[in-house]
Amino acid sequence: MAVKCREVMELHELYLDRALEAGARISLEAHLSGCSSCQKQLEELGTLDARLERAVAPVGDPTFAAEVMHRIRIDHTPAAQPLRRTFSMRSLISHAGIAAAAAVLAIALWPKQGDTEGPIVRWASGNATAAGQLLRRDASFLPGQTLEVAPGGRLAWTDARGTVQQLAPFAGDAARARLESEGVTRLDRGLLTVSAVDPIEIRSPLGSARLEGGTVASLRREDDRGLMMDVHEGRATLEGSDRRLELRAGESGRVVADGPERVLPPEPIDLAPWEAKVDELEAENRKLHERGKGLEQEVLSLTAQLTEALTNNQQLGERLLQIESTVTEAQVQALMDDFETSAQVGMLYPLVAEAIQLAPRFREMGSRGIDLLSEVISTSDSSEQRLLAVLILRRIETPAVIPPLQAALQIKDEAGNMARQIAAAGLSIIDAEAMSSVLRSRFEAENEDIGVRINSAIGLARMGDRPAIDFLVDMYRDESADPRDREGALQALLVANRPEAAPLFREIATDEKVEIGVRAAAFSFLGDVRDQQSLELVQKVADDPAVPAEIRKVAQRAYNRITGTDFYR
Amino acid sequence: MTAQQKHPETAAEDARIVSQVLTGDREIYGRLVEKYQDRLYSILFSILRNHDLALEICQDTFLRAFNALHLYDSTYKFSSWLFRIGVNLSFNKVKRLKLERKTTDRSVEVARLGGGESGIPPALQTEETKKVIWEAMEQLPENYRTALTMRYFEGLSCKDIAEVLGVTPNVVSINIHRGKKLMQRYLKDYAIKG
Repeated sequence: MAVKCREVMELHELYLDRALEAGARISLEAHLSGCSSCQKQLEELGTLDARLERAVAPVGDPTFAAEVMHRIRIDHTPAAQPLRRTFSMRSLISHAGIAAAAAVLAIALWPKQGDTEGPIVRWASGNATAAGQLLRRDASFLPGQTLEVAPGGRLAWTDARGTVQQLAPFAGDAARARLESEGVTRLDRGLLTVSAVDPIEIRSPLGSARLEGGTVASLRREDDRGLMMDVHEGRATLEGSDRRLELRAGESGRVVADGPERVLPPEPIDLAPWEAKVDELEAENRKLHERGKGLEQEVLSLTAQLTEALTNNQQLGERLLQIESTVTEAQVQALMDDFETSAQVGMLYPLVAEAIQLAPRFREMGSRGIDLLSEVISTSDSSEQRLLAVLILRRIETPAVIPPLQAALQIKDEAGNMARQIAAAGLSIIDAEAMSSVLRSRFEAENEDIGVRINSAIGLARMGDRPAIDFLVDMYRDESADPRDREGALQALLVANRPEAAPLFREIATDEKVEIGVRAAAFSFLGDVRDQQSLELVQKVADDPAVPAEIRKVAQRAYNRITGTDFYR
Repeated sequence: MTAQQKHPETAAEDARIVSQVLTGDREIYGRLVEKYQDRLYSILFSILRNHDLALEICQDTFLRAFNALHLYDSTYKFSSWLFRIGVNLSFNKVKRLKLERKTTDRSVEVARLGGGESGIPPALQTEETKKVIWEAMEQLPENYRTALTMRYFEGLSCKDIAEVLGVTPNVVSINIHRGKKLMQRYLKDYAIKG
């Protein structure tokens, strides 16, 4: 069958219901009118339709409808009530064999209100009987009849004055009671709740209770375990074999075979202190919450400060590097200045310039470049070439230049002590423990050129070598020494940047006889040392208007560096 | 003839009875019981395939419908609403019995569910022609069988069946058609054998 045919057949029931939309209907009709296969199928299925319709199966129980109606009459309760099959009732009616039996029974149990005397049933569920006869809502019963309510059921009635009594099973047993006369109920077993309009008496084999008008109370009677009463509203008296109890609203009492016992209501709980405690805790909670918010702010601010400090620290590091290189350049400059007056100055100046230019290229060449320079030092005849090689090596600043510079420490030629001084300076700025013995041999050689000794002392001083530092400090303090050597020592101490030299620099910094540039360099040094004394000095000078502006500015920068702040801008 | 034309006065008459019941005339509800008991029973039997269970659920359905009558929305057909209650109760019963069968050994009582019994309502067991129809129906998948019984025993439209079963009318139309095709085949086989 084509897909179209199958679709048509499957939608045909909707078509019969006239439930197809116009488009689908027209399309289906068009197809049907032209499709003999579909027509044939519909014809065949049509005969089935008729057979199916006739195949409705009857319930097969002639009393079915009557029984349903009977159930409706007796079970006229809200939908939430569970519905149970009344097998006994059903079989009774079935055996009777006539629907009329159900109708007769139903009418018998359905008295019209007002036609009868005695209490009226307001509620009946489950199996509740009066003198063995089933009770339903709106029915009535007579005083003297025994009422029974099976487990799961409940029976409530009102008397002529409006007092409501409700009987329910208790502790799994059927409840049993009897109305002795108007205003007197006998409770044999079960739970009886009474809402009294007029005074009423409840009797039981173990004792009795009298309820005043307007009292609401519940009474429980379980075999020989006594009679228990809870008074919810009003007043009542519970009387046992030897004693009587006056009970008020909220009180409970029990009469047992041995005598009455009074059960007092529990002590009322004073909530006030607890409420105060709750208020207190809530206030504390609010405070903590506020504090939490404050702490959060504090943490945020600290984080910001920390970030700033880290940034400052980085800037400081960069600045220190800058200063160091400046100082190194300054040293070269000093060297050049030294030799400006010397005969060799004409030779050194252009060589330094050339070395500064060539050094990066040799550095890039790595070990090959250093080998080349070593070769120049050991083989060249030209003192000028050798000096240039040393100047370049000194600027490469890697441990690889140690052997050639060490070799250069031996050079003695027309250029005098120049190559050796530069080699010593170069070795001094390389961070290598191995350097110390080489430098020490030069530094301690009494007959060595003073410039070579000073330059060797730089490296030793950098490593914290006390004799080297002291040598440089003494050299500077020695006013009889060559001013160039004194200045060289000072430069060396600046490069070494050791805190041991701080006392000297504090002296220099405050010594008005010392020229301004040197004092400024001293303050810069103290800014790196960062001890308490230096800080105090720097702070004092930074704020002292009497101190020359150039010095004050350096002191202010030093203060900023020590404190890690931007206090002075 | 369409399904809805089969009971032309049904809807209006049912609505009138329902409103009379709600205004205090409980006894008139008996008319609705008598009117729908066989069709409801047929549908329930087709689901439960057990006479006692079908009868019990049938009774429960009428009682529940009575107690919930104030909730009935008269824009829908009373029969659809009634059958929906019945079908739901049956499905719940089947589920519960299947669960019981799984968890207890009391298989005798529930073995008849799902094909243990002949699947023919007791009242039809001597009526050869109708019995054949039920035998054929017995072999249908449950969703086809339920749709077919509602369509033919109650004459519900696809839309009404869809409401009761909680599916779309298209699905109902398809299920009815496929159910009929299967029925046709079973009945042919039966004729050949017979």
